[in-house]
Amino acid sequence: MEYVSPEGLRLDGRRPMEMRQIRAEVGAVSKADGSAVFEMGNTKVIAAVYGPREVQNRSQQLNDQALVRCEYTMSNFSTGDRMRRPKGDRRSTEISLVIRQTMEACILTHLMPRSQIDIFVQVLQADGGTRSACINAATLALADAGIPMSDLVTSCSAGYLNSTPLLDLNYVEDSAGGPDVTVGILPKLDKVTLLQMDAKLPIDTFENVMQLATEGCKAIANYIREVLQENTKQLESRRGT
Amino acid sequence: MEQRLANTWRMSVNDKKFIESSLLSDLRVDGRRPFDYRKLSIKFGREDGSSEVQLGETHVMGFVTGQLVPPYRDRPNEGSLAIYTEFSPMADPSFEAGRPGENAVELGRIIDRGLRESRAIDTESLCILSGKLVWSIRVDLHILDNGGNLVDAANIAALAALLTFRRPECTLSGDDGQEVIVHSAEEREPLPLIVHHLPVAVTFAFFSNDNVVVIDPTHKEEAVMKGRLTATLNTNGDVCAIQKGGGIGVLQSVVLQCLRIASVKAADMTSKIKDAVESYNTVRAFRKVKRHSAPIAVSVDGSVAIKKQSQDGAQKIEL
Amino acid sequence: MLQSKSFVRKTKQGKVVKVVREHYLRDDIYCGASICQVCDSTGARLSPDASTILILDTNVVLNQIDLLENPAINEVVILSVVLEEVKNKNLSVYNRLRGLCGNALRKFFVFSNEYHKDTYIKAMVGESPNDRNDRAIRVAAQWYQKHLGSATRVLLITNDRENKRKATEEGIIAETVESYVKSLGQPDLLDLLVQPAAGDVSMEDAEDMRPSKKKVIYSEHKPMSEITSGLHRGIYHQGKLRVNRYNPFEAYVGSESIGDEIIIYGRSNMNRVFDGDIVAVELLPRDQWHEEKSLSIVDDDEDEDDNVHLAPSSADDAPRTTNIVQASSADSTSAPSRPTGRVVGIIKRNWHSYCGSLEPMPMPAGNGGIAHALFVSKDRRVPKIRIQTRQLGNLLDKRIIVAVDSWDCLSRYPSGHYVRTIGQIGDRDTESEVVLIENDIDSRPFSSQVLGCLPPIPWSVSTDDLANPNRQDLRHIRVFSVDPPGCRDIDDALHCTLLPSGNFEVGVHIADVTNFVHPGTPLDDEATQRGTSVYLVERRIDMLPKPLTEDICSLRADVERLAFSVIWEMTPEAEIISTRYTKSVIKSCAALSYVEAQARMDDSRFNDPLTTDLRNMNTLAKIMRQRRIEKGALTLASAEVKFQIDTETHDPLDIGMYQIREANQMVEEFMLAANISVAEKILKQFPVCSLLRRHPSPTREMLEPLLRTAAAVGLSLDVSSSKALADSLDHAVGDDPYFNKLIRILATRCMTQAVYFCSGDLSPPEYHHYGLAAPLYTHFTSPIRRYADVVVHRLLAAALGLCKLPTIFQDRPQLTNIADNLNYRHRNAQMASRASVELHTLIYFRNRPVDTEARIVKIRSNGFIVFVPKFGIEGPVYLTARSEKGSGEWTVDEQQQKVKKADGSVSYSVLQTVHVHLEVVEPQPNRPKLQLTLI
Repeated sequence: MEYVSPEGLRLDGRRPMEMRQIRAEVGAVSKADGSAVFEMGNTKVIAAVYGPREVQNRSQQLNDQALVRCEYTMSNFSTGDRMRRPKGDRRSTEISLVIRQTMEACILTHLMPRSQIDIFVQVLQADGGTRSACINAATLALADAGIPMSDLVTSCSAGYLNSTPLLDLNYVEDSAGGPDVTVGILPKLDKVTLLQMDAKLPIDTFENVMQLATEGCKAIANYIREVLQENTKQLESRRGT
Repeated sequence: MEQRLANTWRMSVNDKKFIESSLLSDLRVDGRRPFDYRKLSIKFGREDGSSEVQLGETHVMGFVTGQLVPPYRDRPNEGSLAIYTEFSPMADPSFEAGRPGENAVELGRIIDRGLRESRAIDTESLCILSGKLVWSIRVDLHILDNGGNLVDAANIAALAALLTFRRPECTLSGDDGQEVIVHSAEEREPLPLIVHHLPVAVTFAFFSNDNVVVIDPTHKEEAVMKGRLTATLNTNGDVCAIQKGGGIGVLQSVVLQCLRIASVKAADMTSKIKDAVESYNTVRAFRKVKRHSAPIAVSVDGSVAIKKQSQDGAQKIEL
Repeated sequence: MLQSKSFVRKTKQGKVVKVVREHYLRDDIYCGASICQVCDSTGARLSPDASTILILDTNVVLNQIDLLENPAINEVVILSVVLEEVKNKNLSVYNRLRGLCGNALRKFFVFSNEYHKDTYIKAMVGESPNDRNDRAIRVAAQWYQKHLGSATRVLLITNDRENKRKATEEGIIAETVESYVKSLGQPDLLDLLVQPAAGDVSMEDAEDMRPSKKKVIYSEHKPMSEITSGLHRGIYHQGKLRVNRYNPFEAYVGSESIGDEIIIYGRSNMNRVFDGDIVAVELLPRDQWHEEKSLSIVDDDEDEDDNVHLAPSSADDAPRTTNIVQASSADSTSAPSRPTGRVVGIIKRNWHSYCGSLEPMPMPAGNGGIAHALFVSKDRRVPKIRIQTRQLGNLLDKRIIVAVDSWDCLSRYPSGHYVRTIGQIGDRDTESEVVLIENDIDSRPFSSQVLGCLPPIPWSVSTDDLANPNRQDLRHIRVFSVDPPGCRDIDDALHCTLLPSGNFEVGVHIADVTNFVHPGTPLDDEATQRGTSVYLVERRIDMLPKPLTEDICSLRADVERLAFSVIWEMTPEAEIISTRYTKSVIKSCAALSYVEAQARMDDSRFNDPLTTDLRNMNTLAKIMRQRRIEKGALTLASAEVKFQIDTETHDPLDIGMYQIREANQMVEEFMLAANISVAEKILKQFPVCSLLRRHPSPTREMLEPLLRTAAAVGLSLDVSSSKALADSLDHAVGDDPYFNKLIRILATRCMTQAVYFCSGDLSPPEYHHYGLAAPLYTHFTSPIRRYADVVVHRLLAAALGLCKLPTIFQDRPQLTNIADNLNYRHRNAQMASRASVELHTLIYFRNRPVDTEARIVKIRSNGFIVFVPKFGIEGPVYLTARSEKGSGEWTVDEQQQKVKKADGSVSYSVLQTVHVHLEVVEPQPNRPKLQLTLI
């Protein structure tokens, strides 16, 4: 099957180095301290952050830093087939762990000892790249909640099909069975915090693909900054200054 | 999702500071250099498909079993491979019995990705009757002692067990070739699995200081580390899987450097595994031939009774 | 700009799913015309001076692809919507179209109209997909016209009347294909036009995998009830089908009802049969019966006739080539036509696993995608098999095993699935294993059950064995063995004692294998199956487990072992006075190699008792040999080749002819004598159920080629009997010393194979062994490596009254089966050995091209076949390139067995010496072959 036509167009008309359309919205859940909706093409994710607040389970309290918890779920209706057990399976557990560790790296937890920060991420529409969308949404939500972070975390995925590195795979391209590299970076510091890959790739090709994914992350970071700046301006104007 | 932190062993602040500062001078607590592995020993059990791996103080056992089952509907001519991990509370006080914790799930998935997505084990050859009967291979990994770096040890245990596993031979018979006869191990020598390549996992630990990277962290080093990267590579120069689940950020160049070091270590590890499997196979073949090992007893009437020690089968006593 | 496509689809499980996909519209898609000022013309393909630009409709592309491939058609724009439709309908046309577009010389440009923001259209309510696509084509054509302005004329080519009408309404110039082609004014193009109402797609087109689009290629098989009634009535005939090895589309069904073989020609008549199936055949009407013509060889790269191979050692080994020379000679009498038929049903399938490799194909996009690959078996009689795999990357360059699942009449090839990988193509161990699999040789390790039948090691002769009254204690006799160097499985030993009377007592002691291998045990069953040990160049596949062959049964030096002995008393003139047979215990004093034994005999300084015995034996052996030759035994030259293998890499270091020394002949002589004696004994006792070995005399036809060649060099051979032939061969001396050997080698090719048989199946005159000129013969002397000898041991033991004859011997059909199996296994073992030697020859010559001398052994119209004495191989040398067969430059003279150049300047005759260059070439990747060229 051709995923990249000889004219250089992918199945949905993008070129190999192009990302899907991104759209972000801050403040979707009114009850939460911070929330955001992040869309990458047809993948739509909503994130809500509660915290810093008192630790619910005293035995888990950490005396020198904040406790970060994260829960990742996919809604029943997020994929084409209605899913029966979206919660608690191994994949969800692993992704929850990964998101938690990623966000923990950038939150300045030592500023909030003996408190707890909860991040809830729910996938509303899944069309490939859910992990990345979740991390991006979580970053926005944390920023919206005003939690101190050393840097934003943005994430993007890339793959390698028909001997071309492709940026931001959608579901069809992902299920082709080719390699899938998900990268999460701290844009200001230019450091890689999340890196996952499956399927086989020779090392040099991997380098190219990782490079491409990092570029994508930087582009998302720019967009997120814009959104946050826009949001801040709005808040300012509402305050009346 | 929640760790039972009450049971975790806490490290003292002095210990932490000591480890961190000695790492700055490239010294590790157990005397290794930053890119050295601990002593690896691979042993095999009596049955085919069981292995025991000790990496320093970490002790992992792997068991492989196979069963004939109907295949998945969308993969009618492929067998399946599943990895299950058991984090026994005996290994570490923070492990809970029963439901696997986050770490257990992550470990299982890393090994699973390394073996399955990279097509290391040939699942298509496990098909006996297309659409009806295939072999389902199950790998059980039991963690017996957590001395740090469970991923690498468990991966080696899984590979060693898979390489020495033998499945019974099946032949098709019947008028239309639809009946399957499974031959016992006595009748026909069981067959090994077809393994295309060996994906070996190499784990790196990162610390607060950017330049400090070590391979194969011990339990104490794991408590101090800020981030971890597991790279699964094979000797053909392919990267099979990478897992860096958050943690401290590292530069891209560091990641690539780690991959290069990992490929060297993977080659080393692969040869060790292969040697161990070779010697096991020789011993196994040797065991098959009957030998005089029991003492020769002389019965009352003067004739010589020789008790033959045979393998998995009948005992024969010849006078 | 983002659009979204949504459609509803049914999954394999039957669920209905709604699929929503993104669709991005771009503004950076260029029109591809170099004259356009607006667009970026770096990717432009349409030439600047194009006056007319064509836009094609889907059906035009599908039907007229031949026309499009003609260089006269240029300046074409292919829309992506058209490309998609073509891909879905016919994959091969799509591939050809892609080839055209990728070709830099042809001016075909692909315009992605589906992604261009101006030319993308959404389907209107109630519009069918076809209509929507047609509308898209029209919109694109309009856009092109507007975009390029009046500089060029944009022409829409469509045969669909509706489409043409709407196009003209919208202001687009549209024409049918015919009118456009006519306007070009090139009449030969009109021939390429395909009439729209063309019938079925010809078989050359690749199949479409979708069920609705498949065409029925083969006729349905008739149901069993109809077949049985047809067989009763005699309109159908049943028989086993054999595919011609040299032409996979030709098959033979041996039918008893007709009394002759029925030929089946052609793929559709063969109707999905496999070699070995039991089929029901319907005869075609008489006028369609084919004449008996020489077997045609399908011109393929793997032509067996044209491969360099070992010199054949019998007629069975020589490739059954058509003597093209024969066909060209005036053959006035047309042979009677043979019954021809077609297959109507298959009664019993003979499917099993086949080994081979996948046809090279481009990798699918992602490594996990399902790929449909074609598997090509090494055995040419098997058709290509279609398999599905998700790990194409792992399998492409490997030798694999595939099993067949089904073959329905809609698909051109049978479907199967992948079973397992053997290894890398070209890797020596992999290729050896392929050789074993092809020849049905079981090389699996012995199962625990079988090993459980062995006595524990270390084993030694027990007191019970010594106390056995039937076993004679011969440990005091000076027994020795002579074998090839490095031999560990020693199954024969000899002794020669000078008796006081002046006569000699000569004994042949054979390892007593039947003492350990009892009938009915798993060990015996396994040995029966295997039939014989197989000797490959670098390894040996044993019939019995190693502890038995190399230790417990092997008559090694300085250990006591059990044996079965044949002892003669003979005069110094080698006349046998008496023979006795007994089981024994011996202790060999020396295990010599042929070289050692020869050296001892030759060196007059050695005078110890052992060497004296050797010399005595040698003298006796020479007398016996002479006597046999007088009776008519043939000494044919063997072209056996030996490899010297590097101990580390197991690569061949040197290759040379096998040296026969006197010591070899001495041992051989006594083995023959033992075999004959035992044959006499068992036949006397069991005239109806003995296992013997015979060698049928060659027929006149088989000796034809030899006689013709001999006549050409002025030699007349008398082939009336083996003695006559042997004498003629002895007198065949030419001016060069190798001549005689060459004639013997040619004679070898005409011989039949020796076979095992059950004495009750044939009459005594047929027991004759032509090559040895013996009325009776069997195999007795190598039970470690041949199961026939084990059977004979049991017969002999029963004949001596030592034990009861196993019940199987009373069952004649069973015995015949056993004999047939032994012949089958023996044959396969020989073929495997030869294939292994050929494999190693290839490896040896891989980086060592060499120039050497060769002798012509057969003349052909485009060259000749030579035999290279130094390496023992023979192969074709071409005078004209393969493609120009029979260009007429060279003519063949049948009488003189010469091939002459047309102008008479150069000629080559049979048995002439020529110089050739040997080199390994790889015309196809991963299929190396050895090539001989004339210097």
